[in-house]
Amino acid sequence: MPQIKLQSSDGETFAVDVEIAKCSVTIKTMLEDLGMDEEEEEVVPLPNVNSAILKKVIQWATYHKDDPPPPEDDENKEKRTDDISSWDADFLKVDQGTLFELILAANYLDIKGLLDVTCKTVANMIKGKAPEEIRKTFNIKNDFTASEEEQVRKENEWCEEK
Amino acid sequence: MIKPRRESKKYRGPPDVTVYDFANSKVVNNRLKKPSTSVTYVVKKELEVKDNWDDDDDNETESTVNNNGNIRRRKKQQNAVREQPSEDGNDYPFDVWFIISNYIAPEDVGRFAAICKTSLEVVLSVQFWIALYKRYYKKECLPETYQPNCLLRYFGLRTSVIKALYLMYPPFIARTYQIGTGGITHPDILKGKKCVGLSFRKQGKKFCYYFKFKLNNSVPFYRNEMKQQNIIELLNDIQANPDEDNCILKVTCEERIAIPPIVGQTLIYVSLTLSRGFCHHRLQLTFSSKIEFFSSRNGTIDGDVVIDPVSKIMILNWWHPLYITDKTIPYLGTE
Repeated sequence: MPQIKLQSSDGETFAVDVEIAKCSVTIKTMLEDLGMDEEEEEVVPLPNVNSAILKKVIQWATYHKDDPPPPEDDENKEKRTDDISSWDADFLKVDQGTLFELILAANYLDIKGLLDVTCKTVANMIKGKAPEEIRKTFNIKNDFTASEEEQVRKENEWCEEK
Repeated sequence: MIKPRRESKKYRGPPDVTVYDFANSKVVNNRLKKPSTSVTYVVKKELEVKDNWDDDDDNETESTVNNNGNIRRRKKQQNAVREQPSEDGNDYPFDVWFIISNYIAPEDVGRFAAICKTSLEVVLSVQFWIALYKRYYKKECLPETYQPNCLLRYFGLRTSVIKALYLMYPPFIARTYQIGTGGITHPDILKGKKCVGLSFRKQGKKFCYYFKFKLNNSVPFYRNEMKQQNIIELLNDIQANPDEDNCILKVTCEERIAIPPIVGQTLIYVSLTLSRGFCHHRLQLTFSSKIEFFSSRNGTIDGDVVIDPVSKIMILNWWHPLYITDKTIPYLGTE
């Protein structure tokens, strides 16, 4: 099976089957538009993805290589968040930083399946939690003052269940 | 080769010295030393802090991953002083929050907005509300007012989307149904609020009284009053909502009650007890105008409304479908 080399932002290269690499629309387009020959030992630079994240992305793509192509994203459709497979759920048991970096990588590489599952995981972790809990879960800096936070809460009373 | 410029040998007297030159001169001749931090600088800095949030739109943003793959902190001008020191933690870029926002359910919008200023910024964007509307759009549930062709303007977009969600998003519909049929919501929460409108209407054999209350006058910190004076800014204000601080107390009564003039007065006492027949409730609302006419009527009770027998009480917030579509609610003028 033909392989290509993907180079992470920190210079590490990963030899990957072309078919697996092509689950990324960004890489697929790159190969097609630039006419990169699969037989050539070209290296595809991915300056926005570091090696740790690229390794995870390749792991995910390898597991899902035989999946049918994901349906076109319908922005007019409600997005379910309770349909994450058990493998994906285990795969995404990572620290919060990695999870957010995977979202960025999936967005950059245009891997819809991975983007979906990572965002759903974060959305599920937000569900039902107080803002302070969410910040703690994801180690997010609280840049609100107490009065600002109270105002935001008041402005969003419409979605609170009473 | 360019020759160095020579000073004119011709003496023309002392050169012009500006106040700026004088103030910044290193040679001090019996004058006070210029402070390193000028008043202008201090005032400017304070204004920067006040305007920090509103200026965020104009600030160039960072939303990239650095060479180590670490997510860069978003705002370049993040050094402004805050009322409270921010805690340690990550500050993820706008892009991440924007992508995640597509997966946030309507009931989680509040907690999503309250995570950090960047997530709030996403919730304040036009794209967020349009996407939320499209995700849950059900043509058959919405009146013409909330159909897509009526939501092309940005003015009040958020308000319209929220109202539409309460008509088409099942969990919200269930909530309003619960409020509509679940009987009594204690009006105690309206204590201290000002009555800004009053009306009644006969519904079959029953009488419905509508008291419109103004909750507060606070303006969200992210709204810039100065900017809103600009007509273009005003027309693009997606947050616009004239009913934001209002709610309606709807009281359904078996009999017609005479209500004294209470508009403009503050609700100071609420009592909800069982009626004599134990089948209904008795609602007593006491109003006072002591805030408005403090000097002449200090502490006096101006309006005591007793409604008995009450069969139903509802507090309708601006997003409640009955607040919007119930044609039986007559016009309640605001102050």
